[in-house]
Amino acid sequence: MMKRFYIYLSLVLTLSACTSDLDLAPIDSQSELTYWDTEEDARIFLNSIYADLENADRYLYYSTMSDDVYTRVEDYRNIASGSYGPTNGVVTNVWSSRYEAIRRTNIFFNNIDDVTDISEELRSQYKAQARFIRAWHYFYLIELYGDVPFVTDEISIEESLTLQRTDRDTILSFIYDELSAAIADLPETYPADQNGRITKGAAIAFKSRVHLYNQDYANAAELAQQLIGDYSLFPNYADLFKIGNETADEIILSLQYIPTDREHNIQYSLIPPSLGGYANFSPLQELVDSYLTVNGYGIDESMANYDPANPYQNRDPRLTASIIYDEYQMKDFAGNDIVIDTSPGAAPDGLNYSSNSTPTGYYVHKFFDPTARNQTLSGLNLILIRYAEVLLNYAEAKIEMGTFTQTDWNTTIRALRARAGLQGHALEYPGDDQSELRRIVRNERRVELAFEAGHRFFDIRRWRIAEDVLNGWTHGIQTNTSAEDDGFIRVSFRNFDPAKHYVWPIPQSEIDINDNLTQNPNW
Amino acid sequence: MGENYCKSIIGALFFLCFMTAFAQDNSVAGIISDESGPLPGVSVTEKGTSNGTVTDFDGRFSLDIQNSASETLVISFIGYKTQELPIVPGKTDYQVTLTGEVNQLDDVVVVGYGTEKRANLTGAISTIDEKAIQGKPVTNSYQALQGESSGLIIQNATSRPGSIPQINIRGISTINGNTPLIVVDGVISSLNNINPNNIESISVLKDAASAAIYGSRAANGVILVTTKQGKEGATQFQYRGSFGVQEPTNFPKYANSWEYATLRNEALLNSGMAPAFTPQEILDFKENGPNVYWNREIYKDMALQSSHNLSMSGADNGLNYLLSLGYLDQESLFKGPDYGYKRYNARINLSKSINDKLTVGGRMSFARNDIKEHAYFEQWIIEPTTRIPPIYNIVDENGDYTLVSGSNSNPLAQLEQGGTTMTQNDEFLGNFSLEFKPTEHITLQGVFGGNIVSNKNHQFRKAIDFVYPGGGNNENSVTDNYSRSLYLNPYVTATYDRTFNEKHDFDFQVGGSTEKFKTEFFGVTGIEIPGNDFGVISNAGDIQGANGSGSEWSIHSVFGKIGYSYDDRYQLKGNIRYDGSSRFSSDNRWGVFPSVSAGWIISNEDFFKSIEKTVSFAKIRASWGQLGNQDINDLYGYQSLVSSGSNVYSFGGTGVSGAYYSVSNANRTWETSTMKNLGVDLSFFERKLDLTVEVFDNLTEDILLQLPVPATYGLGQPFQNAGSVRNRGWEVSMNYDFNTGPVNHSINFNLSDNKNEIVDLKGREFINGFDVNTILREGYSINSYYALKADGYFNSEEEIANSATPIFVNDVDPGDIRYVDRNGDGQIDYENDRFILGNEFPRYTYGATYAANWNGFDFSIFVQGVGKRQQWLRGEIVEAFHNNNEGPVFERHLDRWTPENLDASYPRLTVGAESVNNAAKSDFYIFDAQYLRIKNVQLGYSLPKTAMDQMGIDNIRLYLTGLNIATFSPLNDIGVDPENVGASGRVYPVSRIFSLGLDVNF
Repeated sequence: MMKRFYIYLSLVLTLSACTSDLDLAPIDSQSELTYWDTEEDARIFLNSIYADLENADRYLYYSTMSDDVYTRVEDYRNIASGSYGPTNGVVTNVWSSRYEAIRRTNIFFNNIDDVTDISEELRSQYKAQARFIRAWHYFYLIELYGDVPFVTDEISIEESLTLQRTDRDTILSFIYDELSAAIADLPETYPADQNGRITKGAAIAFKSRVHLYNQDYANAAELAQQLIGDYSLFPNYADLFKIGNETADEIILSLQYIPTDREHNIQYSLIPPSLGGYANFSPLQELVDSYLTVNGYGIDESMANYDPANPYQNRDPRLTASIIYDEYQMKDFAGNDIVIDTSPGAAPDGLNYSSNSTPTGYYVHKFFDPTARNQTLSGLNLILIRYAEVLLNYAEAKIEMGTFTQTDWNTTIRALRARAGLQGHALEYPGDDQSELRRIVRNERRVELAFEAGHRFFDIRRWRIAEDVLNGWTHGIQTNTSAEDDGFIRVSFRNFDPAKHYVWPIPQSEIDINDNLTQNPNW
Repeated sequence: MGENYCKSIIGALFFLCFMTAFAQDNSVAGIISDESGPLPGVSVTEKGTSNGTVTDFDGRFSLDIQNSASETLVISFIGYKTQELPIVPGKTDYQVTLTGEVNQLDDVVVVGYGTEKRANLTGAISTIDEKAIQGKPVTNSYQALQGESSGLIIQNATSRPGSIPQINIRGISTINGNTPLIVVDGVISSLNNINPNNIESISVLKDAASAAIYGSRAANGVILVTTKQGKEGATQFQYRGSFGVQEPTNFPKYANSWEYATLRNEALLNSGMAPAFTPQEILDFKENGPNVYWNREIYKDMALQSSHNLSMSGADNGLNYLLSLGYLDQESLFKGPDYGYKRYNARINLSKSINDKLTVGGRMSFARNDIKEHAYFEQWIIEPTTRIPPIYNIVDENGDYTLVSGSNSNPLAQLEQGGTTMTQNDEFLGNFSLEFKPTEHITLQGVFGGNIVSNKNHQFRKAIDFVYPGGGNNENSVTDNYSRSLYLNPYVTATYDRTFNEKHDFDFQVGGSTEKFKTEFFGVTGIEIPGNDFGVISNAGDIQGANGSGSEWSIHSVFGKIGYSYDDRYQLKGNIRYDGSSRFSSDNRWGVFPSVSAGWIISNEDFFKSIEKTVSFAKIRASWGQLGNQDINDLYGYQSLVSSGSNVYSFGGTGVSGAYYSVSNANRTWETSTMKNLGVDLSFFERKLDLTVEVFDNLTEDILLQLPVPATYGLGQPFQNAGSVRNRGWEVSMNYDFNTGPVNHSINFNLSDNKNEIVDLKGREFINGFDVNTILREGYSINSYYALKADGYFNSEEEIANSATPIFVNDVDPGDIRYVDRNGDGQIDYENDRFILGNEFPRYTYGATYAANWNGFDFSIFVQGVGKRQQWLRGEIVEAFHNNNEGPVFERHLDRWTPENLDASYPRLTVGAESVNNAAKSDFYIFDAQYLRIKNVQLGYSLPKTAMDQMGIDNIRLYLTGLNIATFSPLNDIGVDPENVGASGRVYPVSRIFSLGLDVNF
């Protein structure tokens, strides 16, 4: 009896053993161990590294934390008003996305030398592009957070749990070294089908920016000067931000987008509700007031041909190119002429008509893409570095060194103003008074680069003027509903503590799991 | 026919009574039946004598009373509760309805790979029989089980057509897959598409001893479902149908327009801004409205729901058969073109005994789900309806959809004109079994089971043409997704079962099982459909994305069990299972999971005889065992993979692909749960009152967690065997049956609790979440809420000056929430001032049923609830003017802080950056979510059998039933269902259902 049972038992076990394999290969992806093989592998991996450069929303929203723009988006708004801390979403996400991107570049460097099927020239070019991008991420990290953990390898989780912050200057010299190495290996141009890759000029311009930010004016000027003459300004300022002019010579590096396949929707935050927008990004009166009159005077100067009753007439044409104001004439998506009414309460675009209409009386015209899909999905490239910035870097560095000449004026600020359509006094060399020149170049930078890549946000911090421009009420248009502030409507109250706010706090989520991370002062 | 027919029957009955009354006065007679008809073979005896008889084929009996002193008739039948009736000499119209013995200890319970007598159980197993399911107007089987078994926790947060509730046994032992293993007729499967009417019984295996045979799959418990099969006898037909209405429940109560406008002005002023409404406008709102509550505007007041089920079953000549068809139609409460859910079920269960050694069987079921929905993301349909204030119309006087309050779309337009999503799921389950008994004591069984599931999803999102300028949603698109999965689960078992010397029961089983699962997915999206009609992919002007993917997993297992029982008093059992999983690297793949258990039936001991009348059954059980868990979604995560994506960037105007590393951990291996269970079963008063008490202690070690990693690590969070979690708890279930005169009553009650505690996290702690923070910390429950603690309001500037205020707020004003400065450093910051504040897992879950029947009427009420639970809610569902929006303002915001109303339930009203202090993450937004729900009430009437005999109908029952009749919860105030999971409250509501049902057996 039992014997028979054993026979059945062995039958059962045999049946259960005739089973399929437990080593299942993935169906839709491959192992890391077999990945790094061909030039294509390296190139595709590098593509993902490019995608990390910046995302479109952040590109735009940096400006909301400056004195140029008001946003309703909670995390940005709270930073702008000084009501934020180490759990703020922007503070947390900027940190984590940069480090995620840094790991990707580290993976790249750990494997690129194992790829056999690639020419040495291409290998060094690819490495140079990755070096630029890794330096780019660290530049943002030290600008925003000061001392940060410094990672140049694929670290383990255990290592990441005990990382300490590295001195900002150590990381800065790494950035310089990496950019120098990149400059040496990068080509000056690429074939048209590779447009958008990092060129030698981009690396030089970026290095110039880093030097300028760190008050190393000699190097900033020297690097900028290397590019003067190599690039040219696009003749029409307004059209520079149109989808047909994405390869203009002025553009040195931009975030690449294409219709349908890779789009951003920043336009949703910019345009009026009547065009399908939601006013999440509203220029402030303070920015509008910084645009000179067309003949080069501030609106409060006696020589200005400024009429408070018609505040947008006779102004720097860059105002109209950048900002939508009351009675603004433009074309809608169908190409019809329309007039935007931003007057208080006017439906649907008027000041505070509804929660999607402007709280300041302004919308944004720069970046407007009439070909956008569903009104908001656009394939327009977003410029990270352009020649105008190089000229302004050069001018500022020279002014700070006290060596700014009329020739320098003519090459830089005058050229930009002339291109924009300013006239007369606006084009005249203002003399060599350093503080006057400083005031001019700073204002020029503000209007020329308005809303682009967070320039103003970083500028007011590095100039240490944030406590002056980010304290007190910000304003929208003059409504005269209240006598306060000359009848300009109050938009939000801001507070900037120079003892604390010049660096962001280290994200709480990081400190929570790594005891070695210290917090920034006063946070 | 009707009236005359009935009259003649009544006449005949009278005549019969008259005749029999005259015939014999020392005899009694009558009919004995159960709810489905007359019962043959029922024993009827004169109490205290051996005189007795049995009922004939029509359930009739007659008995001559031999001892004139006898007062009592005893009516007994196996499987039914014994009844005693007073003897009325000469009474010949006894009508006795026997009721099935619930919780009886002689019945057979389905256990893993077999069955067992209930009395012999040594593990913790609850059973639910079909009565618990019958008559509830549910749309899936899970809903019917809620509250019906101790330790079985079902959370049903929405009545969205086609939605599936969350299900869990004895708490959260892991972060991954806490869903129990569901085994239908022996094959691992799901309950999603099982027709509730096909279910005969359900066993819930809760401890290691009962579940260990399922080893690696059983760490979250096992639910064994047995579907009906034919019963010996002639062919039976059954129809069950119901027809009813659903209505939405739980909406936030809005302040009306003029109140809204007043509070809006107040909030603006408090934030240093100009008021938005003039007194005249407010007066106008007060007099003329409008008062449009958008969140009601997108739902119908009621929607229909109906079901029809037909089955045919029987057994004859060794062939046992059941054929059944089912149809369910649940309309959606969303307005729009016929949204809803239709399910079609078909089932064939067959078995045939070829000879006395060989039985062949097959069970097949097919289910089809058709779900028609809107084409938008549900959260974003609901979100604007919650925040848009009632001063705006959703459609204007011309019937055009409005665009207001920061929306470039209109949720009603999205529902009514935005196109549809059609989901069609087909599920085929089948198993073929062969049972061979070469000798009396050996059983060999081979089962080949599995299922094929295909999901097809077709979305045609139409462009909406708004009359008002700036409307979005003006691009159409078509998306087709298709996935198909194949699951195979063959297994073989050999069982040896023998009793030696009448007292030694011995059984031994070995088996092997394999599971293999493969799924493949394909999806494509196209845009620019010309004419906004004929939405098929080939009409698309541009293909926007196409993608495909696939994955598979498999598990191999060998298992065995051994059992020994002595003299129906002592029982000892052991299980062992050896499992290998494809989810782990070959070094960490195999795990051994043993269990042992023992039981002692004290009431079978001689010394117990003296109290047998009071305590009719008593048993103590104890078990210890280990189970493994490997159920993580990340199937290949023991190795780092490089996956590619298209259009991650572009160069020269052309999209390029990218490559991305996945997170991995080569060392990951099984989670192991060590479970201890102690149970006591007691029956009192001749088994009228049954009581079961269980206590358990489960320790899950090497728990697989996606622990937060520092962002500086630069990759996501891999699964790590990270720590251990303990769940301790107890369960009580009770059943009491009694009669008052002719009325039979039964009361059924269960209550359970379990407390979850992280025992070991290697000294670390982890904070998760963005809008809502949870913490993993040793000594506390998994995912406990972690937030500031609110401490009333600031009433004056002096108080503010003397108190800690948040470092992330630049200006705190009177009327703002004050927070507790936990570390007393004079400032409020998240790093140092957060507290652990409860969690959202339910505690003290209970269910209670009272049922009674009398003379063909039956009534039952089922109440179910949760005694303790917290729910953190955020966003527009709780905050006035959330995120600087124009609304919402709810009625409860009227009691806001003002200098005149210091004792307010809500802080001062603010907008924008001024709200940062009060919107901080604190327990101000953590709510008590306990509840008690009158889940189901039924009132039925079964037509008298005598009336139906002539029509050839065995039984007709008509009933009224309701689901979610009333809910009592503190969360009712917020307008969120207490079972809500997730912080935003943006879900399709829970429905209240009233239904009329009909059961016919013939």
